[in-house]
Amino acid sequence: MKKQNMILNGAEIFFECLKQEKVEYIFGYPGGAVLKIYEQLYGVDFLKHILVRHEQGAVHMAEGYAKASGKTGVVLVTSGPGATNAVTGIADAYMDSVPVVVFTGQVASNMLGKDSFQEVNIVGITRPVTKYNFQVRDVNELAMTIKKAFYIASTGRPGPVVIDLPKDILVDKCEFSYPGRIELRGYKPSYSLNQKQIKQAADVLRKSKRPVLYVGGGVISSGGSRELFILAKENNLPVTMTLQGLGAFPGNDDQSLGMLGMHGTYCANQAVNNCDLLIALGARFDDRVTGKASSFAKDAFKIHVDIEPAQINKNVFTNLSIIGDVKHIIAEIAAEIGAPLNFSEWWKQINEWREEFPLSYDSQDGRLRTEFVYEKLFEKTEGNAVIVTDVGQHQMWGAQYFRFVYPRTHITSGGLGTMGFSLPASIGAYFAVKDRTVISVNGDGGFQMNIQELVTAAAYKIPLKIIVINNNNLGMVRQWQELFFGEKYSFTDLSESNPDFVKVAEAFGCRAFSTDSPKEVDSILDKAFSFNDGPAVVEFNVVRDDLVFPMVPAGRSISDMVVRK
Amino acid sequence: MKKTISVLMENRIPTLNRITNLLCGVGLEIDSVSITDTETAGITKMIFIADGEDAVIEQALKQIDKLVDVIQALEFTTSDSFVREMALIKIHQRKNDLNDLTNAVNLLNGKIIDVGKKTITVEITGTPEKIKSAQNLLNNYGIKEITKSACIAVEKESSIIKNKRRIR
Repeated sequence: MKKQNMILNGAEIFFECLKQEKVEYIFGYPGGAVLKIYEQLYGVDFLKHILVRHEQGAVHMAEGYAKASGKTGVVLVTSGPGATNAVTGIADAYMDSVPVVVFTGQVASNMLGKDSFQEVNIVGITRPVTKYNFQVRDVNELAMTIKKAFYIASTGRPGPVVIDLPKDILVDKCEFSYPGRIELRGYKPSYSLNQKQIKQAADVLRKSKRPVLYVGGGVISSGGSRELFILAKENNLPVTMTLQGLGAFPGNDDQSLGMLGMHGTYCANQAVNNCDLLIALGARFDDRVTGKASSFAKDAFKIHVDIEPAQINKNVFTNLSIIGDVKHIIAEIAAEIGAPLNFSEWWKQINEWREEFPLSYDSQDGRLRTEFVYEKLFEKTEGNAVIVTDVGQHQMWGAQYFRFVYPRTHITSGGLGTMGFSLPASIGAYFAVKDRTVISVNGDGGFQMNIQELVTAAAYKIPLKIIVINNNNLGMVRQWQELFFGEKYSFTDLSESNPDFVKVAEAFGCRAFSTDSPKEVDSILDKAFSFNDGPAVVEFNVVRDDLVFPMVPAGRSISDMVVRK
Repeated sequence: MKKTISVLMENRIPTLNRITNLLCGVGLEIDSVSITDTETAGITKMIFIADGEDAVIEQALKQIDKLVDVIQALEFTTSDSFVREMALIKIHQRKNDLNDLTNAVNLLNGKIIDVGKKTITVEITGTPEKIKSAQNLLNNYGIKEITKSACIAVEKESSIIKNKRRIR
């Protein structure tokens, strides 16, 4: 790095900073306000720019990359519509705590606030959906701003940060030096431990008769899966996971109860409902998990471990809160417990629930179902693949039937529930883990929301396995219409209007397959899995009107769970 | 219940925007806001009076504290702090009751700061309750216009010690 103390322009500084942050990929789309950066990009060899086809796709790609790798995803878009197109992705990253840094172009400083061409106040627009955002007003602040952005995005509870770059800043020059460390007066995520609280948690756990570990995405983002495994296995603890927590603990282990909440397993929800100690690890008591919050694990002593103080007592009142890095806290609790614990009586009860209503679907009528597809995918990959789901019924079936074994193998839009997430996010995930199979699973509705990214996958010859679960309906919406809205299937039937997905995929440059027979699933997946010269799209035409069960109706207590139709 | 919230922050305008956005988001009403410099350059103090359920206020306070630019967010109870407000009140000038009015203003520890042809302007400082009662009393003389400052507050030293916080 002999470029220190050199006079550089803003665009050069931009790339020097990304180099310092060890950025490998930028997901971007050029436009008027960022042309100086694209000019500079011409000579840059330390990172690769991935050209997307829509800015929303760029942010989802960065999310997929971040979730699969644990690194920060980077996005570059132009001003105005380029920036507003990115907003859904930014909000998605905000809700699911994904570290991404989004650079938006902006009109020149002297044109700001004048309704200039392609001007939009993106800093104002994204303020409620970013962890932080900046507009750079002076080239001298650029390096420090980028340093701060990466620091804020990736530490504490991760999240998206937007940096707005007026055009003139990219041309202006100043002396470049990259700050080594930064101090922010108002932002000091707590990584230190309070031993007294750890001791108390271990004491309560020792005395407990019916404990449950309720594991969220925080365990994965803190890299605490190993620590969790040791704590749970040494002490015979039942583990249930949220949608974002899947994979934190092996889903094929006996001690995994599967997912809890609205579409969680019967045994996980019963266990949470009847436990005397609930330990929430990096989870946020989301309404899709708790149902009616006041009756959630009503009689249990609740311990909440989280990096963010604002999560404590937000939805559910807890008896003990421990703020800090979940990974270290789990390790400390495990160390504090001492002699291994055993809960055989409790397990007897849990196993009864498990046998009472296991996850099940009709596999005898010869018709193709999503659950079967996931079972086959698990069989083929043995869990050693990254599954990127979209939003809806297929997403819930995936959470239930694909037993995620490893952390960072389940990527989905949980908080915002963004249809169209899967395809671009799976492209991002591919760049993070090139040695693993990446499977994008979509519904026929969501697939059409960012379908343009098929081009991106084809252009970069990405060997994605893209599954389209086609029931010719917006299935989850249809499910709610059937159960709660008088069976008025208003605008959820796509059977008359859906395109021929095989033709569409082929037109975009992908291999394509289609079937509606369970018997053909194996052979078609084999064909798709053995094609590695680009994306393969596999359409599975499934039963139209299946519902996802179990189900806890929204806002109701978990004990009101409906197990089957 | 009304609560006084004191926030120390950087980047005044964007942070104000973030905080008001957040209050809108949780549906919290605020009675007044004051934003001023502090003894430290670059740090702004925002004081606002919020009216809402305790749990909502607690949640809002945590969300505010979480903001990158917020250095500290605290909630003061009335007994833990000094709270003051100022009112400038214009009263219709009627010759016959000037003496009476002067007495009333003195009683309220206020000041007459302007005597015009048509109006008299009175300045009063005190707790929000005192301002309220002054307003009631002066209403008898016919208030033409009233302008109030936002509430400002400072925590009592005894409360800081009680809550084991560092005295800044």
